[in-house]
Amino acid sequence: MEVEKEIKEDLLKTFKEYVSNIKISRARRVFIDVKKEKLKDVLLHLRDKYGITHISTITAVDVNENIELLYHLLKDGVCISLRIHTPKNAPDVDTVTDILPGAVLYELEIQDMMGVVVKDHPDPKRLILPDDWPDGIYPLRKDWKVDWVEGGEIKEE
Amino acid sequence: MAEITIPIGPQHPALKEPINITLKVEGEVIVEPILRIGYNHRGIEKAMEARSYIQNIYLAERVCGICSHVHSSTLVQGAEELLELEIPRRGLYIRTIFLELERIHSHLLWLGVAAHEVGFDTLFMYTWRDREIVMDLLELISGNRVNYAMNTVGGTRRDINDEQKKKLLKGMDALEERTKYYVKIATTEPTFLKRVEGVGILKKEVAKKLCAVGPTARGSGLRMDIRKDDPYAAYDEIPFEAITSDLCDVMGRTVVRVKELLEAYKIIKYAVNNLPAGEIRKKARRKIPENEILSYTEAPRGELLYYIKSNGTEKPERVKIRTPTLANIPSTIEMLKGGYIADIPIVFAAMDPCIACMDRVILVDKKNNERSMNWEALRRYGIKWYEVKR
Repeated sequence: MEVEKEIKEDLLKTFKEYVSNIKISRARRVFIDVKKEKLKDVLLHLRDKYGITHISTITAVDVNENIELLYHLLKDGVCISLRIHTPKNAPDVDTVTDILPGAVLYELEIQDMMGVVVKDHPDPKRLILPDDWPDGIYPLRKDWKVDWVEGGEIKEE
Repeated sequence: MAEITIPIGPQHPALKEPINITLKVEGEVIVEPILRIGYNHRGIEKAMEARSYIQNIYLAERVCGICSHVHSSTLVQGAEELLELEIPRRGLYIRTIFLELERIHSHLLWLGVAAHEVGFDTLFMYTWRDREIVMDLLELISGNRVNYAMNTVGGTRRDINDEQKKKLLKGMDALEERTKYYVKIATTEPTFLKRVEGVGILKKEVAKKLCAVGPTARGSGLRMDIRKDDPYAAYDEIPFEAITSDLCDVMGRTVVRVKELLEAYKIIKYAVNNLPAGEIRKKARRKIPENEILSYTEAPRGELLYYIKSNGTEKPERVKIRTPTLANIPSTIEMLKGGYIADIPIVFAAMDPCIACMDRVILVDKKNNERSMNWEALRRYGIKWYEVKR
């Protein structure tokens, strides 16, 4: 648990009000809320000080009027999840591929499925959805229903 | 020389699953490979939000046809953690035995495919024949060859009896002997070596930078194995080694997988000989309290991640799946660069791609009939698509 606590103390000291709600849910699992504008600074800090270069994925969750993005970083089994929020009516986020080049496909994935615009992405193309998929429709958002497509027996009660 | 663009896939005789690679080549040398995925997207993440955890176990199992048990294990261990449930050790041991049996059948399948891609079909026939030993064992215990349905929230669904234990040990002995022979072939047979040595180079720093996982990362000397780093199931109690190789080419990835086979036999023998007595599962509540967790496992292809957010009901709020193949795509693009066209099949196979895992939705709009077409329309669509690309 030492590494997790050390990172917690260090981030609180370095970034003060920009980080909050640091939760060590169990050994090797840390969740941290970060202000959107400071995300890249935190990533740089973690990379340069702790050598964290591995990003497992980016999870996008539709939470009421916000879209929540979780950047899951992994180092020796310790997973640090940085959580940022972006408004659902105009969700956007800066690319992190200049710091973590491995994030390139995960950013495209959240762009396709949740409609989060990734600014300055090196290759902003469709990744998962078909080329002729209509713009502005994002399947993983809560307002998109499965019965829009064939075989949609699953209907909300 | 002028650059030429060659499209491969999504339908192509050399591909077992749909993926599109567009190659810019100069003569025989690949200048720039462009990968397009998504041809096998089935919307599983969305479907999981509409089903209960118990139903999702069987859905998760169908994410992949090869590494099915690891997907359901990752989901149930996530749900168990959310419930703060302590699983009987016998259940965890049986789960681990299945995880390793699955790794064996996946790696043997891979070895066969790799041998086939380099034109060494004798080895392909051998490995796939031996793979039947492990397939029979899986069927003996679970009743199924592919989707074993062994997991449930709280433990496993089927027990292993003494008769089955004996057969497991006997099977492992037979496979161990065969695998030693494959180690000899893979390290000495010139027809094989000439096609894998120095092919598909992925340097250690590049693998680290591009976040490679599993045997692809370990074949480039990165020591990362979730079984060691973040032990789950019974891996903290079972002795085994995490295999790495510094060769950084297809040979390195082959060595890692073949040696992992030998480790898997060791793990299964240990687990069978030290199988704790007692129950195999605990009854779990259906409603799962509101929380979020990350569940990591080491699938045969590498690190597998499930993020589960629960909302206090019996259905999850959000399930995010990240499969190892997607994580290895940037590294594979790097490996293909500067290589020869003839090396594409083996370089690509060396990552052990599982496209079904990676994509998961095909969307057909029956109402407007937009996405269904007849053969002629499909042919014309294909020609038009590539014309626009060019």
